Amino acid sequence: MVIVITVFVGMLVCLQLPSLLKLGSRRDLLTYLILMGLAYILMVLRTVGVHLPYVTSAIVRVFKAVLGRFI
Amino acid sequence: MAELAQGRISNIQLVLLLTGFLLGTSILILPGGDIHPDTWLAFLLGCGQGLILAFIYLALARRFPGQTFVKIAEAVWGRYIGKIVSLAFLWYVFHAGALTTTNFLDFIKVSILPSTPAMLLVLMLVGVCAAAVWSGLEVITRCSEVLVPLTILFTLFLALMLIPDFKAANLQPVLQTPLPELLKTSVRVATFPFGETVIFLMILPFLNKQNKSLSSVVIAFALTVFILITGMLRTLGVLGNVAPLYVYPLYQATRSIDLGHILTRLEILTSINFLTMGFIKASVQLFAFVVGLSQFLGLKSDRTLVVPAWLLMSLLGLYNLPGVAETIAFTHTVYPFYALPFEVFIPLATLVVAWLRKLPREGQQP
Amino acid sequence: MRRLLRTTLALTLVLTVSVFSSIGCWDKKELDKLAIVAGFGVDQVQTAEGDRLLLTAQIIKADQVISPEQAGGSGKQSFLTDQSYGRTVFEGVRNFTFESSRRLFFPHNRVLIIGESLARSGLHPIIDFFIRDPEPRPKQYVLVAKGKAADILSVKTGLEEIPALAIYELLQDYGATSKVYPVTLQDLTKDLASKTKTAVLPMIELVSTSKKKTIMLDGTAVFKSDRMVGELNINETRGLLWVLGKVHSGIIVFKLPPYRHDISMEILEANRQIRPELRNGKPHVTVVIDVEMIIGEITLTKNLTVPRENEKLERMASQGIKKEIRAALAKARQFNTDFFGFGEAFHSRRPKAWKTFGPNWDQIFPQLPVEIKVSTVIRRVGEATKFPILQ
Repeated sequence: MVIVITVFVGMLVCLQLPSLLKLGSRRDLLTYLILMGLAYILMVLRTVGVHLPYVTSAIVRVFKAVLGRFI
Repeated sequence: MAELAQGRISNIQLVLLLTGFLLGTSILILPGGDIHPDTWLAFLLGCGQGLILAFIYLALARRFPGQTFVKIAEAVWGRYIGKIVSLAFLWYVFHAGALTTTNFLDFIKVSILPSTPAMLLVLMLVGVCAAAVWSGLEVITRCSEVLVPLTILFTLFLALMLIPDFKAANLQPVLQTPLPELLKTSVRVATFPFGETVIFLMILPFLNKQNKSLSSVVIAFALTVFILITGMLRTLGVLGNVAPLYVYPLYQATRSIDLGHILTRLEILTSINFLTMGFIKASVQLFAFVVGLSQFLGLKSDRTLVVPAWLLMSLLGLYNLPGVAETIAFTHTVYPFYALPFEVFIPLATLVVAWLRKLPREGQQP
Repeated sequence: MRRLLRTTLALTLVLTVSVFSSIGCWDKKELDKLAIVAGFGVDQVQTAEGDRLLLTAQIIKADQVISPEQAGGSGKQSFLTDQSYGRTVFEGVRNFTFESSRRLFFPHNRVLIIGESLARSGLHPIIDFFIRDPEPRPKQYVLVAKGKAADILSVKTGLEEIPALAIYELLQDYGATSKVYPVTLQDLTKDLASKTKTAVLPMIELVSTSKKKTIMLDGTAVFKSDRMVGELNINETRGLLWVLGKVHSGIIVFKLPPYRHDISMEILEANRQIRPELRNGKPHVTVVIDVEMIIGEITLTKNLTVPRENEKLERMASQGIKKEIRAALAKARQFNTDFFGFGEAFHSRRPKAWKTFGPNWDQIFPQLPVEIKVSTVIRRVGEATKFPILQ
């Protein structure tokens, strides 16, 4: 499964890389690679089975602590 | 600057786009809550409150024509605080998009495709939105030009089909809900979906004629309310006191249509409504996020971020909440409070500060 | 060259994606892997392991139904009945796969039959599955079986190939007598969720003569909360239907004194109004029924089609109708079950007053004064004026 994700993300990057390079902006290239890297890592982690924390649940917990009465 | 930000849309297109956005996930989740049968009344109140919020947004947009919120924040709050404010706003947009995706995903998993792996499903769903965003605002708007009238048509058709099952007694007693309850629900409605129009601060700059958007917004709100109330009345009329029992009441009510054994299983139309409107909403949110983040980072091309945003929003869509129960609880209880800073405080504060600082100054570069 | 590479890559990506996006793959439903359920029964039984639910599924054999000549000739059944056990309905449904190679497919289910002993011990535990699962649909009919649901579902009846469909048609046709009250799952859910209106379900029983078995609708089961507490016979059922406004047609038979012969009147239309009122601060209900009738059958020689006689007939008919309603009311009071929905009427139309006495409806209902006003009009008399034999 990890292989599938790698291939998938790899293809996406390959397709966009030339146009990014042609753009000539280092900022664009860097942002793109960082964000894609982030997405890739998260997807792999999920497939491998690492349990990532639920984002909104954290928010809920914060709000519950503060506004216990309303919820 | 970048391809995505070149689009121009007309006022009518704005109306349809906004309506599609508002109908988005609300067309499925509402009525929600327990205050049958006056839910529709709370809804009207919520719309009114939402309209007030919309005035704030429009005032801000009018002050800074042609500028997205990211640019406005920078101008009003200065470089550093402005960046923080923008970042918070962008996080809200991103998270809202992920929530829409979560709702989307939950519905499909529950009623249509239970066994399909979630990751794949969500990538496909958001993928369609990403493709729309890649093509630009005009394309999204043109989609809504076709899809929104279709939704309106289906809603009216289904309402007609449900007339045999409609019992006015189910809508009574009227006005018996205690006021606090009514207000609570109306506030909830004001934040979802009406308050979410704050996102349009990223879209309004692309209008053909700036400063003429008030009437469009009002029309869009009115249209949305009309559709949603129709849906709600027919749902409550058919289901009555049982409505709060279901996770997707509108969908469930439509399942009872059975005319002469031929016109049955029309709930598919509700599903179509939801899918199309959800698509528009998620696309708009994705667009706002991509354009906003590009401007925030000062990127050369808006398109660079579309693919990463697609992947990340899909992931967050999966990882928002553990399950449907928590999602519903969140939408009903925490979300109104959580959305408050983004939908009310930030825009309002920005407007006030802009007014105090007398921005934009004469001759200032937009 | 670069363009070629890019195009190839893009194409590969698109094709790979399309393969994965035949996303219906996981949820595909092939017709030959489905067992289409037309009728479903739930009973309570004792097994070696203790209390269990017995689920009976009447499955349509699609290939058999398609060629009726074959089926008729070879005597093959176009349906088969499968059973399974489970502690809960859902478990039982999955347990069918121990025997059958196909998954049960519920969207076409027309009737849900519940065994009497199970009905008496409580409906809630079994109904949840049918409400929660997305497959069963809200407009299927629900019935209580006198005895075991499993027995009812295994009987082949008259004109319809598939018994479940036969039962379905029986219920659709209830208007012919208006002595049966068909209840859909949606209605049942609503009644169960109501704080005051109690649920009722039509009953069906197995009748065996020496030659064959057949099934018959007979009466209505009355529930308090979710337990069956009693029955209404067919006349009391019609009494209930009068008040509910669900009488579409039917025959009323009575004798017109001083004659000893029976007269049949056919019901054309019946409108009803329930008026919840407050008299001296106490709740009071007036039920007003307006009926239009046709003279169906007169077995006397007297000409009854003149206005003077018509009035007498109308009065007798009204009396007959009142009797039926009173019988139903008596039963409602006896079981203390408000299946007419009077409580809901107050809740809808007198909400302020309802707040005060609503919570005590259980104590109020048996004493609730109910006034019944019936007015009958004879619209038509058929094609004859009097019985054509001169005496």
